[in-house]
Amino acid sequence: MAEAATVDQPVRPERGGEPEDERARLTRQRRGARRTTLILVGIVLLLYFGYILYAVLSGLHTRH
Amino acid sequence: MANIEHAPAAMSGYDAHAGHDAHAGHDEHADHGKPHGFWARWLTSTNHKDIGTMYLVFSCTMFFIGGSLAMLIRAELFKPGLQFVDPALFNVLTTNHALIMIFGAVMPSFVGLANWMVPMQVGAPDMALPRMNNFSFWILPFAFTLLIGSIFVPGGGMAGGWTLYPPLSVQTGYALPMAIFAIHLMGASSIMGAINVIVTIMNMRAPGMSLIRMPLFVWTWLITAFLLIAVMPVLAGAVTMLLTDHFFGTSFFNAAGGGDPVMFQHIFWFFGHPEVYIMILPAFGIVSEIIPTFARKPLFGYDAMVYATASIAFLSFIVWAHHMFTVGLPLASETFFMLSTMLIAIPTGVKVFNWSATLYKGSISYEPPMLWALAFLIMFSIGGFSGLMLALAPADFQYQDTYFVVAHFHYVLVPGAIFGIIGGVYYWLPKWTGHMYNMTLAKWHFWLSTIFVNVLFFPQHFLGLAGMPRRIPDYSTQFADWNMVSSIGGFCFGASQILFPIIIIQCARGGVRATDRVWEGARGLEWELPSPAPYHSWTEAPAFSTLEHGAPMHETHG
Repeated sequence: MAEAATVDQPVRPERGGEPEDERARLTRQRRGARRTTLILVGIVLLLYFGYILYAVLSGLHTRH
Repeated sequence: MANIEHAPAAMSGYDAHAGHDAHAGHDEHADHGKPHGFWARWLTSTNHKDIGTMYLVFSCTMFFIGGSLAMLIRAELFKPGLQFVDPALFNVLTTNHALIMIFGAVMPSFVGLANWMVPMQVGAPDMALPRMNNFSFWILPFAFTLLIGSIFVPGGGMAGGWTLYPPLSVQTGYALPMAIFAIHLMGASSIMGAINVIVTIMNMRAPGMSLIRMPLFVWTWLITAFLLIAVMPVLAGAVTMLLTDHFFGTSFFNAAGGGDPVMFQHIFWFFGHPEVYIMILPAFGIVSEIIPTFARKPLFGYDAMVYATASIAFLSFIVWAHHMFTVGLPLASETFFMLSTMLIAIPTGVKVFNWSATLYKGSISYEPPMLWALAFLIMFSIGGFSGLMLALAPADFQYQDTYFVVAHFHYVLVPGAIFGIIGGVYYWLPKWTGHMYNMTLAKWHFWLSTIFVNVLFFPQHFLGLAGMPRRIPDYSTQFADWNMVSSIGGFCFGASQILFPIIIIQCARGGVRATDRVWEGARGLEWELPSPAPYHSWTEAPAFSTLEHGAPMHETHG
């Protein structure tokens, strides 16, 4: 009978009030955001510290 | 557009349909979820609207500080001879006016507009990285305290121009490390802001909003953010080399030690020219939002506008040496940079013609945002034409370091970037505050600004062509008349800007309630939200089943 009782209940999302497909979309979104952030931070670190380190190291090397 | 013909109220431009405003309790709704207490709300805020507001207030403050320095410059140049400041202080004024306006006023105001509008336009609940958003803003007050503080240290402030050319810039005293640290902080802030914008746009768009359906403001900001990430590290590298030349005995730019001062110019302008587009592309986006709204037509050539923006961004990386034609470049280099610079006129022309085509046969009404956008269109084109003149290498030998250059870049940046920003604020302000602003006062602001910005900068073309050099506190008497006219224009333009915060504060405190759509011809997701936009918007993603760019089919749940 427990089965019948659940049939009468309104559909409840499993977590946080988000329907299944919305939850999947948000998960995809979060995963995508994390990936994009890591890629961009990697590029920035490479460029930022690449330029500065190259400049400082090569400059100090040839210091008169 | 047919819907404009039926009601006189509609011709007024803003949406007077009371029935459209189905959110009578907006103010209570809008406040939902706001942190209590001043510090909790503003210091620790991670809300994109609050951070956007802080950016805009900050940039407005910097606009007035930078503008005050400009007033001092124009006062000094009012007549020949030394009036108020000595030549060293004059150089400090011009240098810091530029640094404050570029990094403190124009760039943060675009970030503020992006913070407010990008999530609302793409249907996202907030920026993707809200804590980093807070951090990137709060870096700025410290950076500018350092920069402005550097004016007052022993030895005087930075005086080598915003370009920081050595050897002049490395002769600066204590101000040099302070300004360089400030530039590093501004760069870090800009990069964080750019990452946030890209991650938000690439990942948090509403279902159905493909890249090629995004509003133009979002597109221009996406491209700008990539430019920022590409070039701000170059500036950081360049100023770090200046620092090590000054303090650690290196000789990057010191000819006596085997270095080359011209190398700094190459590195600086590899950053500096894309920076020019960083300051104008978001304004293109704003104008591309405003013109279709008040012409009541979809933007002409949306795809071409996107490709033109991307082309301008690409070309901006291969034109830098047009700033250096007179340093003694090889003839082949001068030819290459002259031609690549002239190429930029093509995508820019595409934009100008597309805006004009959008206006063609439109049901145009002239509310303040449209007035600023039209002034932008005309006067930015004037700046573009003088840019083409400067792009001609043989002619540039005549123009180099004259007031013609000053007139050119001020036409691009003031009636270009700043008019775009002000137009954007007047366009979205009712959506932010929930009230209409004083239209009469806003039109006064527009007309005074437009008249006096021309009185201020147009005579500088004549001065430059007559040979008046830039960055001088005193000049030959033959330049006296136009300098006086220019200074009068400057004082009046500066005074008329006081209207801007007055209008905004009045609007924030109250006024006629704005409808949700605000402007009758407005399209896009932000106009589907109530006015004022709720503190947390798009907590549920809107279903974006659009047929046109940025024009949703009303399946929203804001």
